[in-house]
Amino acid sequence: MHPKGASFASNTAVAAEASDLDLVVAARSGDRAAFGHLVRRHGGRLLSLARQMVGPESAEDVVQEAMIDAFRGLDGFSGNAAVGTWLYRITLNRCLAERRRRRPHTVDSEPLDLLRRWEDADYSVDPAVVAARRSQAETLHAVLDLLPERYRNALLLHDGQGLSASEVADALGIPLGTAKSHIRRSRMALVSLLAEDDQGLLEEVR
Amino acid sequence: MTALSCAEARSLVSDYIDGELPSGVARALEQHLETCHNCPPLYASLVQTLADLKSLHDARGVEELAARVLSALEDAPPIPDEEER
Repeated sequence: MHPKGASFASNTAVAAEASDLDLVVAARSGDRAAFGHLVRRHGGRLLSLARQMVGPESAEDVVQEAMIDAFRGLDGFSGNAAVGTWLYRITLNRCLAERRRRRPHTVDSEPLDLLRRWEDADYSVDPAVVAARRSQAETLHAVLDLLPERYRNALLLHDGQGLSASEVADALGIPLGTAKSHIRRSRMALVSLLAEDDQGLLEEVR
Repeated sequence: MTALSCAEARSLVSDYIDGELPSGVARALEQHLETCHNCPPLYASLVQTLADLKSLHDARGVEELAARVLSALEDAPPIPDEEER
């Protein structure tokens, strides 16, 4: 419990046992230390999300901005979702906005030619080539960046962050069937892109 | 279940990885992967690539983040609502 008028600032042991909702209530009444405990509790997951979505260079800034959004929006927190889910959603929105800011003119085209290859029984890849390119973190990030945004987002949330398909659908505001289709196509396109050194092919999906 | 074509098998692989295929369909896919030449490398590459995506998880820096957020909130102008209270 949070004694009325007290702050969590001086008592981290109490804060550690406080529920998320207790901390939200305290933070709402101006207890910034209580909000700091919420950030500590959920920040790791938020940093992981942002590092995957916007890259390690700007992840910390994006999460910081998201947490300031959250602090300012505490009155709007309805309690319908868990506090962690609410913070995650705010951070994801910040990440998506950052992606749009960086690539405002991206045409989210369909990598149809790439995916059609999978319908050809003769098509295959060399797992050793895929593994070698994937093992270079820079290449993996660059290739992920070649995916259409909606595919990339669904893939990173599902396979990078471990969200279920229905959580991905919820987070991105798309139907479940669409989320599943994005995840499936994104996985296939990613493997095909990793299997290729052909710059022309990489351009093709841009 | 009749034998799957490569195209059919490949369209099912993603759901198979997520454990979402009915058992009969999953068995048909497994049989295809046992006998096909071109599909197993695609399947293996998918599985390994997804494992690598999981390893991108990096949750370090929580204390630094909390300190930065608290410091930014100290510096920030009051929330409009606060002024009204």
